[in-house]
Amino acid sequence: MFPGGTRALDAVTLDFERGRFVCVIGPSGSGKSTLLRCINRLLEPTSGSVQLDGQDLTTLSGSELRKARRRMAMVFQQFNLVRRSTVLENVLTGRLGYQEGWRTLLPVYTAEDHRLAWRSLGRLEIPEKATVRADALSGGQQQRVALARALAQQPDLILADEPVASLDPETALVVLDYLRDINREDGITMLCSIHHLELAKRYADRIIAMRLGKVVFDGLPGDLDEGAYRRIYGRLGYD
Amino acid sequence: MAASDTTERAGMAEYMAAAERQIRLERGRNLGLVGLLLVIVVFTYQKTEFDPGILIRNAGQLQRVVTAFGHPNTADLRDILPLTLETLYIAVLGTVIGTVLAVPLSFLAARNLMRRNRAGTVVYFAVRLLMSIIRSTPTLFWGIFWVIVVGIGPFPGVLAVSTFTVGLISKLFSEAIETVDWGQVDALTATGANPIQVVVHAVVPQVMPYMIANVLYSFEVNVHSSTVLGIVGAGGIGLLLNQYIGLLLYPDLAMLLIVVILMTTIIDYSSAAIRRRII
Repeated sequence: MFPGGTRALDAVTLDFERGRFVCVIGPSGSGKSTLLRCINRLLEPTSGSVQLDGQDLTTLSGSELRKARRRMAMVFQQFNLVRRSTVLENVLTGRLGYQEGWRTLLPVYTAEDHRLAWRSLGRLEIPEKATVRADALSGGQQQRVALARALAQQPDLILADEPVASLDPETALVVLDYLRDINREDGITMLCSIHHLELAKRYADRIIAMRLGKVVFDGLPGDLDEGAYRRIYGRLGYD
Repeated sequence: MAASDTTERAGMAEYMAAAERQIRLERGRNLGLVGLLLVIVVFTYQKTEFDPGILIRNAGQLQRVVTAFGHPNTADLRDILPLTLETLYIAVLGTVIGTVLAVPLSFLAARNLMRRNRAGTVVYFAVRLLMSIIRSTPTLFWGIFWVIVVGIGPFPGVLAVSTFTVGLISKLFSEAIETVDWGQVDALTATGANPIQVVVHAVVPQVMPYMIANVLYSFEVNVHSSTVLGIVGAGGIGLLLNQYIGLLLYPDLAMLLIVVILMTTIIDYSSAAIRRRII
């Protein structure tokens, strides 16, 4: 609940199975981002709990919270790369959650960190940009670097908050293809908010629809019928 | 795409080697810069006769000053308070006059507005040069200049503060103007508005909070520099400051500094508080 009494999420109970590609859809302000951000605690839920493999994330703090966070990588609509740093430096930041003790004080990464960063860059097919500054890349390239950063984190789960909303339609498909490949080949669970219904139906194993902070649909993409549309958007069909 | 270890893919080794070379190059450059800084520190250390030993040997002097601060001469307040207020008045009026003069100049010194044709570019560079000359001359020197022209008293002090403020504010304002979002300017130009209208309706609303913040900041700077203007006869508390230092009147000096520090601190804090609220 936000100050002023707006309830961004209301009585939402969801269970996610490992290895799935789940899309969260719904109009702007329906609570998609809030849902994702409550999971890795970029936002603090005012009540309720979030559990990962039976561990309650809502009560964690300090190093326990950081350990839980490194299992849940996040990608953002605006990519949120460190724009003045190089691509390689950005991808290496995916390893920060693994540094401990005095190492966190030094801006130095281990050989293993470098190996994982390069593997992620190769995986996203963008190693030739390693030494380029992040702000010199196109939007699609930046999102691939952000995905490489997420992958370098070796997460169990990727929270993708509108990962293609700032991209043109063709680039959006490329990025979503990468998300699907990572989901299938690495078994990393995807939880992806997206406002484009057709894309959600194309990539998701399961679709969750939200409206005004409530879950109004939860099922297979094929089960989204006209009745479901009306519950989500408050009118027939989708424009 | 293969799920296998793609670091072994062709071309990959090359990219890694290139990145390695760049990192080593940067590391070398950074080491060089650190070395250069060290040389500069050693050089200036010698040139300024820097000597921590004197600090220790003269600890007695330090103690005298500190003791004086414990026993400020409150009888001086009769002289100190009116002159402190005069200092404040000099800073206030000087800031206002300087700001009024700086506003038109700041638009003429904004790159994004002026460097769109040859005439504009000429004006831009002329104004910039004039402003940087004014700014590079400290307020105290402007005080000497105006005392020579109009005689001693607070009036040359106001002129000195105004002059310096024109240079400072026009720089700060023009830089604020240079950061405006040009999309808003395009949008108003597209309505058929003339350049003056565009500035008034698209540029001014964007830069207003920064302008106010800059004026407050200049006021702080001006209060600080006004406290020493009296040393050259340009009014304010500096006159007494000079006397007390000359006669080694430490308890009186202590009283004066306490009042001045109190005033500047109150002004700095309230000005900073206002600036935080408007930006």
